[in-house]
Amino acid sequence: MRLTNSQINMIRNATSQNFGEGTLIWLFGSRLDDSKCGGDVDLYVETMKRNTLMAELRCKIALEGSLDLSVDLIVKEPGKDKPIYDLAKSQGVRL
Amino acid sequence: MRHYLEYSAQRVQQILPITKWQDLSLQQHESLAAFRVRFSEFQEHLGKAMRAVAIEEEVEEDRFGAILAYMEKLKIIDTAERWKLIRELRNAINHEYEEDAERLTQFFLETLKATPELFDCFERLLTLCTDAYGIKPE
Repeated sequence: MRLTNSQINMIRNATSQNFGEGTLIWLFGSRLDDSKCGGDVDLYVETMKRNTLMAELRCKIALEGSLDLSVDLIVKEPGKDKPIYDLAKSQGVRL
Repeated sequence: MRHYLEYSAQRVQQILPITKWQDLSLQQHESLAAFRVRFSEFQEHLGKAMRAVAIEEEVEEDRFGAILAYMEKLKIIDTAERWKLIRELRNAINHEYEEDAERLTQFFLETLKATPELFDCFERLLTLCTDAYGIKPE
């Protein structure tokens, strides 16, 4: 995994601040591959909050500011279901 | 461009809130699509105008954050944080999918809320350009 402990802590802090405590986070995509270089940080987040559009945008701004990297954020709200959720979760690593 | 966005915002206001997405007419979908594009373009043009002012004033313009801080100082925008949020909202325009009606409604409500803020920013930029550089819109 190409994230430092400090970066993981930043991700945990930003997600809990914007989506509440107990939010679950997975890293997926190219940052899991140690043989690659650079790339976005792909995160999949499961929250108990609803109507998370603005929280999601705030979280993305906070993460890109603190990590100084481009971040793609996929957020699953209760009751929502999309194929990308299963894909991100099955291929991802829990943070 | 401002008038086009203003017109689209009025049309969208008449459509929202959307309870049954499937019941919208083709014309209503077209109004929503036009609003998305016009909001996006207007926001982008304001950003470019801000950068042009920063260059003219010889302010650091490599980082957009520095331009926003300068715009906040000039009172062109209320806060850099709010502008970043509006910019992310604009970036999200192409990421929203029509099958999630609840999400789309939320998106349009937030975009509508941000529209008068873009107009305020536009007016302040116009005033600045007129006062500082003697430039007036054609």
